[in-house]
Amino acid sequence: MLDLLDPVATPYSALQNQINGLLEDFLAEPAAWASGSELRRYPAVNIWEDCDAAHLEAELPGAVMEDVELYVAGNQLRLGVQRRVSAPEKAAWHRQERVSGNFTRTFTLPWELDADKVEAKLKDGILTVELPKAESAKPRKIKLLAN
Amino acid sequence: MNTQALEKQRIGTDTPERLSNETWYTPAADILEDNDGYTMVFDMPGVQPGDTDITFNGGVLTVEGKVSNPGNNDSRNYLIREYGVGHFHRSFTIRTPIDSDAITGELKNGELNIRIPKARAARTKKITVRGG
Repeated sequence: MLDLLDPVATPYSALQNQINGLLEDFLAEPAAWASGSELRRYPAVNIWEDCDAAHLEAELPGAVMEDVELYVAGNQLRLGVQRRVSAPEKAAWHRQERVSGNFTRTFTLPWELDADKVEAKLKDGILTVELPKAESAKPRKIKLLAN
Repeated sequence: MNTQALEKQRIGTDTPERLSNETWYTPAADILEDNDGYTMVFDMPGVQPGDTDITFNGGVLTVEGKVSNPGNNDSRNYLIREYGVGHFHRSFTIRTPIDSDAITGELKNGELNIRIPKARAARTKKITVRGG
């Protein structure tokens, strides 16, 4: 896993995220990775940006606050999720599609984040994280000087 | 028990309501059986209590969950986009006789838990063998 505390400011964050993804896949299911079968990254996330911030949403059905860990440093974000799927005693499984276990995902954003202002909430199984850009990363309007 | 899809994926054209910009997904499900009945758990992130619909008709159990913000938000500037947001719909055929009046459901943290008691006749009975 990449060192979260030593972020490398890089314009190649998309590539970086792909590499992170491959690493996650490999660490989660080496056998499946080797055979090239389809992998499922958990949790699935959407990240989008606007002028001032990035916004992350992840589907975490059944999760409560204690199951989620979030770390932000520099331009990186690490999301840790613990998911337990329990069965009552003396019950037989007919179907088990919901994944369980411990999961970690790391994302590299194209700019530095303001870690102090990150806000996260969890409601109805959806994690929402606001990730404000560092002041230095926000676009500034440049005033043109009259001649 | 009989189903088609496994993961969250787009359901074809057979949608209950043909509103534009809405997609229906198949929720992941766990199904457990014990002596008294079945327990089904569905992943329905984003669905609030009260926005679910559970029906049992002609041996088919159908669950639906509606999210408040369906749509694809295509105008957003995505850095990573791994899932779509939409309503949930899934059906199972249950051949074991069940007590349909006693089906109960609970939605909590985006997880729908349904309990389906078996009809008394379908429960396993333990027969005591008497010694001679």
